[in-house]
Amino acid sequence: MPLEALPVTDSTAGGALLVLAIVMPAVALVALLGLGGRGARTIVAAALLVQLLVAARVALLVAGTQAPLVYVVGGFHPPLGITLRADGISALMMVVSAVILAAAAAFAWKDFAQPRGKPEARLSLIFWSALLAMTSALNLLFTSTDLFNLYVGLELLTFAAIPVVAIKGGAETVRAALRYLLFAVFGSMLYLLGIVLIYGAYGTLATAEIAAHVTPNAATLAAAGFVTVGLLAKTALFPFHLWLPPAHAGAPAAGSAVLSALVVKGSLFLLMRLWFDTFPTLRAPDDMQLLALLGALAVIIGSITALRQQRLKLLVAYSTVAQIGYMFFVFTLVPTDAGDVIAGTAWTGAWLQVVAHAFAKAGMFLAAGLVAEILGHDRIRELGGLSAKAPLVVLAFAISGLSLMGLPPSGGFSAKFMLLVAALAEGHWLWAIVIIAGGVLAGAYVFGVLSRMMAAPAAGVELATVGRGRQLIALGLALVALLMGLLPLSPIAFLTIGRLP
Amino acid sequence: MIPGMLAMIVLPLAMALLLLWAPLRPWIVRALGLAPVPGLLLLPAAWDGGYSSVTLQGGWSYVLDQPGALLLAASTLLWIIGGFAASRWLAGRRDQARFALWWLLTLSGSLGVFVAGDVVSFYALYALASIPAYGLIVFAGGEDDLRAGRMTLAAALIGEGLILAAFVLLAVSAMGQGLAIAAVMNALPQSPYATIILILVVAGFGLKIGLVPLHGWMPLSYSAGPLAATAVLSGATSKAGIIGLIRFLPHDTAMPLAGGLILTAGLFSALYGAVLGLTQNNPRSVLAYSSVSQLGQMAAVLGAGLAAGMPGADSVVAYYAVYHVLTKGGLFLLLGAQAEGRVTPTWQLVLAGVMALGFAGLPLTGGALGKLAFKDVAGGGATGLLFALAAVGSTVLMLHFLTLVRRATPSADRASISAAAWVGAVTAATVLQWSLFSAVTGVSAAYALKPGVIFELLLPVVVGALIAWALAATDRKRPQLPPGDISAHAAGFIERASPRLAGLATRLETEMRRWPVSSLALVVTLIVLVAMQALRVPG
Repeated sequence: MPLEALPVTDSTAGGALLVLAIVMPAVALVALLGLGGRGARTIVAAALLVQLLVAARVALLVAGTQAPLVYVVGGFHPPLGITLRADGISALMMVVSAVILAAAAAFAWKDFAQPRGKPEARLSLIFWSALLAMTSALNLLFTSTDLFNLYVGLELLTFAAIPVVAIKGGAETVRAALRYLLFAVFGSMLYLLGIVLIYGAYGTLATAEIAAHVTPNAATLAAAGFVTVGLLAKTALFPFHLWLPPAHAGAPAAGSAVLSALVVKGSLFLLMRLWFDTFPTLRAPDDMQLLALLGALAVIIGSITALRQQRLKLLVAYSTVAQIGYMFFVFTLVPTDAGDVIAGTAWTGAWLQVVAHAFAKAGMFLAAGLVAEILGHDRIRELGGLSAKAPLVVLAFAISGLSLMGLPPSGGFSAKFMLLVAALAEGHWLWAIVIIAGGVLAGAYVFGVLSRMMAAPAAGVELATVGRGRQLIALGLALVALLMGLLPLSPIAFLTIGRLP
Repeated sequence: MIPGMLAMIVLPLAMALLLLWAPLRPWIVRALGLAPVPGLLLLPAAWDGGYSSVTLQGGWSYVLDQPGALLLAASTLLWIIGGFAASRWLAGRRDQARFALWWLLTLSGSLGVFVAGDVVSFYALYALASIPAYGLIVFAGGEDDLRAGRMTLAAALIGEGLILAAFVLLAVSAMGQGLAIAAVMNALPQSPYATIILILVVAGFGLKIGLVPLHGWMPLSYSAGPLAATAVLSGATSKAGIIGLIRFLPHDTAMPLAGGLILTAGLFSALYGAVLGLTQNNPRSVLAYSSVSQLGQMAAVLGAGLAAGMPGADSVVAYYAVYHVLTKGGLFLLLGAQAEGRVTPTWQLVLAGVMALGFAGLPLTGGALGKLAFKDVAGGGATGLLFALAAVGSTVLMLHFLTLVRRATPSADRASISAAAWVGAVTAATVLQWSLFSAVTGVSAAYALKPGVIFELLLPVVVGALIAWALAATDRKRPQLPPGDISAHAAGFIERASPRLAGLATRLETEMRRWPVSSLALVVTLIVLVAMQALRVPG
């Protein structure tokens, strides 16, 4: 499914919204640093609310016109200038990230406050600016059409994520952040090496131009390899996940939610852009079995490891390692002959998995954060008494878990069902077995936690109280994953807007 | 009918949600018996055999037909009786809300699965009928409860995986025709995956009904947890497996081989359960083996129907199941009433004996009517003889059960389930069977009163009673087996081996998290990726 050939495209109506989506958080970030931390939360809240409106408007425009939004920056067409473009999947991801970022910010509202009369805490300023930087970076990733711009988005995203990992301080989290940094830089280097090769071979970095001329010569193949492997490292696909569990488990709850739900999806999004839009003719589904194999290992080993964790946040982080695995089946499962029902099914299934996991995992990390706050620890063996104390938190965890297990009605079920249909229709029995086994294992670890939460409290345990509002935020995110299960199980046309049928 | 179907699924879920609100909790616990009441609206369909269906937004559809209505009628009544018994048993307990939560979730799935009309609804409601049962079994939190709960949960999750695979293959076979059960089953005979689908269906639902050798979890599961819960789990939710077989075995096509195999497996289960049940000394475990035997017979009749291409087998099996739903549930409730600390009165023992022997086809009981109804499908000859043997086995097993009940020393547990609960359940079973006979078979119930028929039914019971008497007279010590026998051994082996396997996986994972290993993997991936591409396009 290559991009529509666009020799010269002019900006479409509403295209400027894309610029707004990238620039506005950056402007807010400058304001934040300039005005200091006192008004930080207000600025972030305003920026994220505007972001929500912009993303919704973009999605409505794309849905309304059934065509991508395009903005040619400064009127200079590629290869000289920069073009921003939002097709169906861009619009979808913009909305998803705007919603989850806003929810995370609301969740962190009290944690990172700047009380009057006290010296400004630098930590909260760091958190809020990182959130804004991530917003901008994600939108840049979702709408850029040339490989260098995408690289900038990727780097910005990584560097915004690292402070969030390290924000709690302490040797462990700093070590986690350092690991993340080193591995991410390693990944970036490989990516950069790849795009240098591509520039050498094609004289352009615009994805559409490359797609039009791509030939499978040595330089291109090597470049594709470098870029892919670099992005695998950033997406934490097994066995390149060494940085993810400590990083995601060590961050504050709102940070973990954003990292697991959105940040790993940034590099995954880029990987899909690459293989489906930049090198569409290079992708032979059979050659992509390697990625599916790593995905399968991620599902199985990630789930088993999750099952054996003693701490809730680590369990949730390993569940991310496993859930990412499912998304890598898409490279094998989407057949190259366009217009296939199976292609549409696999494509929709993969994106549903991305979105359902984003919401379910955000909800689950927030719930896990509240659990830690209520109990003062997150040891799974000692979760007793939660259901009586904070039933909403348990409910949020349960509903998120439902989606991760892939039980209907939930987005996770729809995603898995469609991936399974595609896998079996194409005769990929092994991948189908892995997808099903992953669901069984997820059922085991989710249920293990739930039954502990339902148990009677240990004697003499003091349970803290947490605000109703934050419980409702976690629950709300989980409910989105649940409601996605009401979509009919057929290819969604919106996801193919801006692509050849 | 349609509002009834939806209300039946939604009301328990709504009540479960209301448990969040602390002031309402005691009221909801008290009202557990009312949660299944919308199911009563659907009762008439069991008699008139009517058909109604509704399709909601997004392709979710619900269907009421005679087999579903029969199972639903019996299950609704059992859930109502069990609900009131449970409420009484829960009164004053601190953790009653937790019990009510799992109860209500299981209830919604257990009744809803009988009316699910598309594969997604079916899958969802089947999961709801199977998975939350874990919470009921481990309620007391003892070591045995936890092990039983783990086994039940493992069986449920693996069963879910198997039927999901079957459903996806069905969806692939019926690509573009929607996901209604009728549509996908239409496509099954022509499907290239037909064999695999049938295997998955039988294995998946076989796990639920304890088809030997997939029965190991059942004696463990039924021996743990509060008896009110065991009553509905053994009576009602086990029928989710029967409705699964009814819905997902082909109807209009005769499949002699597949049908024959299912018939064989079912009959083997029927005999195996009856014989192995004798090695048990816990009445709960004996009842579980009796379930293995009874549900095996139902599967066998469905297999016979499939072999002959007789769609009527569905209603007949559902009719036979009605008796099992209420009587099996009732006998577990009897055990609960026993715990009250009083010696069971003789009239109760006699009544329990008559009802229990109904499983063997004791004339005039509801069970006898069930056996008469499926005689046409099950056929005569060798098959008929094996069914008669199963009835003999059931007689011996049930007499063994009665001995255990009579001998049981009343425990000091203050738990109390009123005797009215089990008497109500078995009475309902009898009334339903007699009043439904002609609606299902088209023959007047007076047929069951003919001397020839009575003699034929009585024969296996008498033979069984003689065997039981002989066994008792020889006074030889019976072999004892752990509940779940070989299947539990196998499960135990897996239980012990799996930590090692999981340990292997975690060790691999830990190894992979080391820098040098991960970086090396990165390089290898890069090389393989490029090499695979390069090999495809020479030059």
